[in-house]
Amino acid sequence: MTEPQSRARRAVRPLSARELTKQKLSLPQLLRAAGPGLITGGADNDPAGIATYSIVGASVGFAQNWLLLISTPMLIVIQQMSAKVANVTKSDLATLLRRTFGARVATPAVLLMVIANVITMGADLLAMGAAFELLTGVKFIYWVVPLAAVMAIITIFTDYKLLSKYLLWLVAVFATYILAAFLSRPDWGAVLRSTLVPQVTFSPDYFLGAVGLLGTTITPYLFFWQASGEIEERRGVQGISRRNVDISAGMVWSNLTAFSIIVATGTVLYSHHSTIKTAADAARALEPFAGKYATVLFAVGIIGAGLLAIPVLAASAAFGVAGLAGWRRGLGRHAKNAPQFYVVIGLAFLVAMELAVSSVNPIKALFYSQVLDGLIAPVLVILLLILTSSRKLMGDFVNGWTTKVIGCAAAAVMVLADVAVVYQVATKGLPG
Amino acid sequence: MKGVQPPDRRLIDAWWEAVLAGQVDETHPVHGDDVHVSIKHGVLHLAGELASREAREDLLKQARRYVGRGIDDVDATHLRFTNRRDKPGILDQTLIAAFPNRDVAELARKYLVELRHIEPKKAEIIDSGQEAAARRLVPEDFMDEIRKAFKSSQVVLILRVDEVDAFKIREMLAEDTRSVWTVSTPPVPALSSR
Repeated sequence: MTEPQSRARRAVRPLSARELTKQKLSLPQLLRAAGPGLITGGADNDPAGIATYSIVGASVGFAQNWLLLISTPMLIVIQQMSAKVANVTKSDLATLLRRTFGARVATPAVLLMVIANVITMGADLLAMGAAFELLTGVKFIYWVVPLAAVMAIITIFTDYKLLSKYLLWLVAVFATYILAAFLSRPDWGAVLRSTLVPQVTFSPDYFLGAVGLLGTTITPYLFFWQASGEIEERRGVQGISRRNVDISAGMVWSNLTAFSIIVATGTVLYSHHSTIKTAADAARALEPFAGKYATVLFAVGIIGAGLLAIPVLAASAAFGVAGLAGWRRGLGRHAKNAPQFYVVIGLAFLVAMELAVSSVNPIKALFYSQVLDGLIAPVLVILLLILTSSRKLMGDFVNGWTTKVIGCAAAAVMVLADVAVVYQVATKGLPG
Repeated sequence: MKGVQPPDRRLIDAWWEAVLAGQVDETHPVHGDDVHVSIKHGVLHLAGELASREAREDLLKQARRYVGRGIDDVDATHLRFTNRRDKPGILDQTLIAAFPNRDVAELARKYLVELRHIEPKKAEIIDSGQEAAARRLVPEDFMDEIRKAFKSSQVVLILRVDEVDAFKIREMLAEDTRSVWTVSTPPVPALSSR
């Protein structure tokens, strides 16, 4: 073929769907796209996440900072895959799992997510109770039932999407951890070394922390929530470039906050051999910034994070079950139009409340709920990778090599951490 | 929304009359479940999220016609519209839904086109045994599903729609009709943009 002929052929080649939707975003467009993500990213750190990062910082210092660093691109890629698969297939994750892998695979995968969500809800209720105890002195357990009732009513009967825009500002107080991390005067050389050079200690403490940290960062309910959000908002594939910027900004911000929590707790608590047994211990990490107001700031942040996260946990569980069963679903729908969906939300609150009331230690409950998330997440990451790598389902929007490599690395790291924690706990037992 | 034509005004008027009579759970003839209505102390409260600013303005205008004729005021504080940036006419998507028989499929097609006023680029009902007809409309990868449906004596309704409208139409097919299953094929360049 002569050069002009090949040029002519190239010239008439029709553009693919992906090429037609590819957008080069200018700087102002990039900033506009990143804005909502920054706010949402702050909300990704729910009370269980704050507790887990605090415990990791207090128990192993900065030793797992490297894990947070490598989990950032993994989290971004996984959330982008969740958004993309929903926008391309116009289906939520549970429906897709059922249609692609059948009920035998989809049902256990979704049920594991539902179980982890309900346990996390229970732990988050305890955390909110502990936050109210810090503010009022009234024992945390007395707050659990009223909090669960109020939040169930908010989720079922009010416009949660509208409300969440205001609640996000309560969670913004966690940005103060960034200042607290600086003001606590850590050894930045040690922080940098532990962030860039992986260190592994073969102990149950270390691996429980690692699985908890991965589980609270790459958390299963976020995959379902992201996909269901795309469906409810009907965003479509034309906005994928903007969504990717939005997701990346949010996840980087979320992990930057997590990093700061670990640095602050590592400096304030680990270096002084203090452990976290109560919410008041965890709040001490904010002392370098807030002084005597650290407890109030921490409590306000936990209450905001709980108000924001618990309805999301309940709703993503309900999205999963409704997607499996083929029921009408959506927080934008009136309860009368999607009764089963809202019944599942109500049940999730009831069970979570029961778990919270019967649990004895809020901090332990928060931490172990995230370990459970870490054990479940790789299964869902692998299923998500298979879905988004299917040319039949995704067409021109199938995963590229970078996405595949980072996605597979995420699954591999999580599986390795899970195997290691099971081995460590089986041979050495749970830490005290 | 491109692909959606203005409905018969009589249907909308009938809906308003039903709502004002107390049937606030009636589904809106155009916006479906996207609009929630309640009447409290003579005030008509509109809530939900509509596809465009124009749709919101239009609904509000209709509601205000009834002030003094059954209601005292209209509150649309919680009636939002989606600020969509995606443009119609760039991508198409094919939706496939299986039905127990041709009559049910025909009812679903009528519901979508005549009642919900969607305007698909293609809408065909294919009976079992007409594999060749289905192959012309859907990618080969999805023929397995169609063959399985045909083996169970089901018929399929195949709609080619604008990608921008595909979310809503797929939801209607899956939730508002008696479809056995519904799938969408990946987006492809629109017929007009080729």
